[in-house]
Amino acid sequence: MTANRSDLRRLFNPKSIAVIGASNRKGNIGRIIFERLIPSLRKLYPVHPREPDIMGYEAFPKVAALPDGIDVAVVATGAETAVSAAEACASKAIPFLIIVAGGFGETGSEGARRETRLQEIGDRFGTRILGPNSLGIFVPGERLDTIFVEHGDKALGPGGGVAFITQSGSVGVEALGLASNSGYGMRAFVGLGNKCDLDELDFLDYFGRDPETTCLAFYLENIAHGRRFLERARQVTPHKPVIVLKAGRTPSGARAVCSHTGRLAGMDAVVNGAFRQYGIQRVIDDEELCDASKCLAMLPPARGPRVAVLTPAGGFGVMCADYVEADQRGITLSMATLAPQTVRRIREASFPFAACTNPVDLTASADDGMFGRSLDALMEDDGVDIIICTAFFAPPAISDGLIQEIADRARHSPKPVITFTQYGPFTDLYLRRFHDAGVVGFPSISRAVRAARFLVERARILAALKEHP
Amino acid sequence: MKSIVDQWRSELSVTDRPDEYEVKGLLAQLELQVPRGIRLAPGVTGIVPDFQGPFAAKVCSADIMHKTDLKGVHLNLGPGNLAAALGALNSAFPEASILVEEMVAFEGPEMIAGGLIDPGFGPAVMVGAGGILTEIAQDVAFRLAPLNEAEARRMLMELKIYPVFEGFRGLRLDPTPLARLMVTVSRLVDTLGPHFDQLDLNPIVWSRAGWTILDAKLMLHKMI
Repeated sequence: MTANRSDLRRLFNPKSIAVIGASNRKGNIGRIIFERLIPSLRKLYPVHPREPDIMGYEAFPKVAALPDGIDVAVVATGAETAVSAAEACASKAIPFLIIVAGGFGETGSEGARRETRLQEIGDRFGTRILGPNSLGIFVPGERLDTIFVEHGDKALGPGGGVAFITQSGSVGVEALGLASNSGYGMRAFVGLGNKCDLDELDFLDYFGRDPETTCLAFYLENIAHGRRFLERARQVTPHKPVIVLKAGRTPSGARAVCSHTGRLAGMDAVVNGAFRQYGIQRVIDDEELCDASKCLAMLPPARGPRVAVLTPAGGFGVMCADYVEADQRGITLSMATLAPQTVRRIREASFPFAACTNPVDLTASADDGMFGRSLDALMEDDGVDIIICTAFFAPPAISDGLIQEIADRARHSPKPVITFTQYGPFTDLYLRRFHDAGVVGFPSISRAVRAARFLVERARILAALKEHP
Repeated sequence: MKSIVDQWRSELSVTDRPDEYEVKGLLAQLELQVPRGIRLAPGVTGIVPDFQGPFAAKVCSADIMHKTDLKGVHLNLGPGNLAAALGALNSAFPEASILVEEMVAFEGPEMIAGGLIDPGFGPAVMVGAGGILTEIAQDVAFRLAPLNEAEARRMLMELKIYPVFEGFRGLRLDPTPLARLMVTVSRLVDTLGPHFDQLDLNPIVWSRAGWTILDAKLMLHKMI
């Protein structure tokens, strides 16, 4: 065994990386991957049969010629060559392989045979294999990136807490773009691919224990060891949220369904129940996966379901109240009743004509300071569990200083503050600025309210775990 | 529980094909409440039950899945018309046994509980709104088996009809024994292990300060 089964540290923080199939030819996948790895400042070993160097790095003609002690090999060749390259890497005791090529189990019987050979290589040498058909890994904090397709990660700053583990490469990349448009803190991205060896269980265990991970988000089409995944997730959920998008519905088995129970289970009602039982938060699409992980990674669980809304625009306050009162996800929220003292403080901080009961409408005459003082009043009201703050930058007395005004209060607040902002073509820009200031923001009322539900759901899970650990 | 279940399986009249009477016998051994009843062999009609009417008479066979649809259920029978109902059942189902039960008066809604094997996660249980509206309302919650009482209670709290357990319209239905019933069901499903296929307890009703299972179907795998 060259790698401890659950210790993936050398995979996510390697000192040296070999790229099999690295190339000088523009557009070649091996070239893109190699180029992406240069900023990681790790020792890089390109392997190419003929080229003496790749982009200025000394190249090695074959795997056998590589020095000992390499941590990770990215195999960027086609499927058939990948198998022999994997074998060569494994016999050189490289502990981790990332196999990019498709053309394995997903393509029919010949591909399946190739995948079996890969599995045998892993078993024989103790080398751990990510893929095949894997998009690779991306660890922003380590500047480590083996993803060969463009991913909209410009907004991803280091230091984020979400471990994002996806069975589908393209869903992963799209979700990354969606999230990063508006600011998203990512600890690591993992493309699982065909899971011939490393699978969701390995990454659940690893990121569950990783101190820098604050939240785990999975996109899964099948869960290899259903019960084990659930049981191990329950070891993690007391400490950090686990969110799963389980796509693709499993038919309820070959046997004829002749009971009410079987018919009611339909395609995946059991998954819903099982996830609840084990403290996993289920989401249904990429937007929900990103929204849930974004808010759960950054905000504390809600102490209760009572929402206060602060807005400079009455219409949005009313819509927000409607969303709050609608019962969704089986999570009931309610509009908080503000304490008389809170109402008085907001009145003193704003105008005689402002609506100082919930939803609090400061009107379009509001300025940055009124927002800040009203937020203070809401945060100190024991009858308020969650605050949704509408931030508009069009009103004349509002400046960009509003971001800091909100951030100063929201950033380390024990009470979650969720911001909703819209600013025409600048919406994403302002969401990113909020994110960089440590504030969770969304570009629509419904998504802001949905985020509140995720936080209440999380609190409920923690309460249930406490009741029956 | 394992010894009770093993003993029960070994005594079934047809291997791994329990009829309603036998399933209810097992439930009673597991301290769940079922109506008093007797099973009559095929063709037997002259019988006076040793419990009070009104009675229900039902065809009792593991081979008949939808006995109501096949007119295999007669309800609200008194001493005067029991014999006629038994005669009708005998001529419609000459090969089948008949189950004669006391009719149970109840209040509140009918509930359903059940179990199945999920292809990904294994044995699972369900509870929800039962009776004839079961599949229209689809007000059910699932969990994996086995489960504890707190989790069973959370299943109930997930139901839209949960207010019936909180004094809705003056109803006084106690959710605790229903949660305990779910725990027992989940242990039964778990104990049956590879033999288990599907279970329906429907309806389950609040009667005499307890939850009574009026109808029960348990399907086992035929082990070859």
